[in-house]
Amino acid sequence: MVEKKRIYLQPTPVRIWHWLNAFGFVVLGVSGTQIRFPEYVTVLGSYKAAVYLHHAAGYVVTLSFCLWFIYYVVVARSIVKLYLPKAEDFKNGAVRQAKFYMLTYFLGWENPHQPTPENKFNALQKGVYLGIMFVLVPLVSLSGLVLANVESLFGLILMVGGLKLLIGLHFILACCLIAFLPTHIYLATLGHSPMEHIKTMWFGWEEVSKEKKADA
Amino acid sequence: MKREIFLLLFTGLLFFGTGGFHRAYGMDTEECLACHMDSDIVGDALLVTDSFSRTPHADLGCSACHEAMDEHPDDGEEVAGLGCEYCHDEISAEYLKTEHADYVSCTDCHNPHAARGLAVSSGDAMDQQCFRCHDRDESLDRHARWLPLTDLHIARISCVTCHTRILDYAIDLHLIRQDRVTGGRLNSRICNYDELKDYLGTDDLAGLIDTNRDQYISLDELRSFNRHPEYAALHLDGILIPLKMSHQIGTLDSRYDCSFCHEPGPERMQTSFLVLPNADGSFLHIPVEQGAVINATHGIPDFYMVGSTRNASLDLAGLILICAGLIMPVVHGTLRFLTRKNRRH
Repeated sequence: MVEKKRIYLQPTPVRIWHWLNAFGFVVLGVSGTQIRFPEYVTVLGSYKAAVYLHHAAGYVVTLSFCLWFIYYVVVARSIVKLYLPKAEDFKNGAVRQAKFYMLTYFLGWENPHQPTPENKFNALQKGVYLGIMFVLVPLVSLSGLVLANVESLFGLILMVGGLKLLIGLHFILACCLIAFLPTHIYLATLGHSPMEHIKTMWFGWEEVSKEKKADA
Repeated sequence: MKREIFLLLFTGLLFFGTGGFHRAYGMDTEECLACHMDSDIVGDALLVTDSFSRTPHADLGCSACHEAMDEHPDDGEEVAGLGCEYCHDEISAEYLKTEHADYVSCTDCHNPHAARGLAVSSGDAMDQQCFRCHDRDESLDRHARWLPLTDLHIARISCVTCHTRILDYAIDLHLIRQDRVTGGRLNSRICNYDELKDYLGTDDLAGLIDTNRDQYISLDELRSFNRHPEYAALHLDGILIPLKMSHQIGTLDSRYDCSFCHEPGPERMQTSFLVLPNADGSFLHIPVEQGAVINATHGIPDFYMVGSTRNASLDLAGLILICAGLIMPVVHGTLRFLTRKNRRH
């Protein structure tokens, strides 16, 4: 017998950060595209508007990332537990989860990972989010901050290899994050219903299955 | 006898008619400079410095512009002379149509005793002339009302690039030193001759990059310079300048549109010059291979204009990455749709 129960999976600060971040990323993606390809993209009107918007959204996303980090480190104190893969994740978790996504999902099997507030992410999510939240986002934010202050940080730019290298790095990192978005959104629809995980990120509560033996 | 008198009169007329009076009886250039290059004699106000001898005006001599007289004028007396428009008539006519001419005369910007011409000047040197009247900080504040990254734009774009009606641009590449950094900011953007000479231990500054001394900088020479471990602290920095000069000075509406510069075009950002300081304060311009500024691996690592100097290979890599991000949703989504019956429970 399968019993459903509701768990409070996404706390309010995390949800606020997530949607602010999501909105910021879309704005950064659109304005960044116009800044780099002004002859093809004019959706935000003037080039100057795109630059100002890109800078503003960049500062908002960077600040929200810092708040997210502080929340998980200082308030929730669960950043290591949630994001750092354990030995078990490397040994069995990653293979089991990959097998689910690539095979058993299509056969109608249940997701082997049942999220809890203490263990929200499966082994593959941990690996991907570790790279995104601790490498890509900080690097794209830092490079963006430097690029928004080229003249005053020009000495630093020379030390890290030059302006072209930094802009190239910022662009490629941004493309990696944009590339992740379709997969992220798609995987969010892999719940029991397409909107299940998305609702969780909006309201905070998730319905999880709890297997119960008939005689229990 | 009549013939001799006629010849004498004719020779006399020729003499006066061609200005021979000035040359014959006026003070010559050497006489003028004997005093006017010595501040002990004439003070600062009427001093002509060594730089005069290097100007094209020196070839013409003092009397070409100043009225030559038999005797030296009294102190403080204005010497009548020809205006700049006498020789520079086209430039003068162009300039006099501008509002700038209502406030500023030619000699307020161009010292005729030091003017060397565009070929030996630089964008930065021209900007210093502008900043004599238009205070740099005030100009920064005024531009900051509408121009993003104002300090960057003011440092990397010569004033005349935006404030004259020129559509063709080039990039002046100057040497800057990485070790001249205070609080992250370069405290001296462009190295002067003495700095570079002391730093490199040679006065052959051109040979630093133009290794084959052919007065042309190839991409290979640029790559060698950029990778040379001894020159690790030296960098090439770019300043946008007009390819030719105009005196139609003013504030142009088109420059408020960022895409005027920040949009790629086949001709844009192709032409650049290595600009090196000479010992006499002028600048040596060496043409650089076309497209060097845009080149990702061989060119100028520290000059970049968003939208204009982007690299096509990098754009392709970004596109491939984004397309790769669609593989999982498309492939998995298709299989998900095809196997949807398996999940109806």
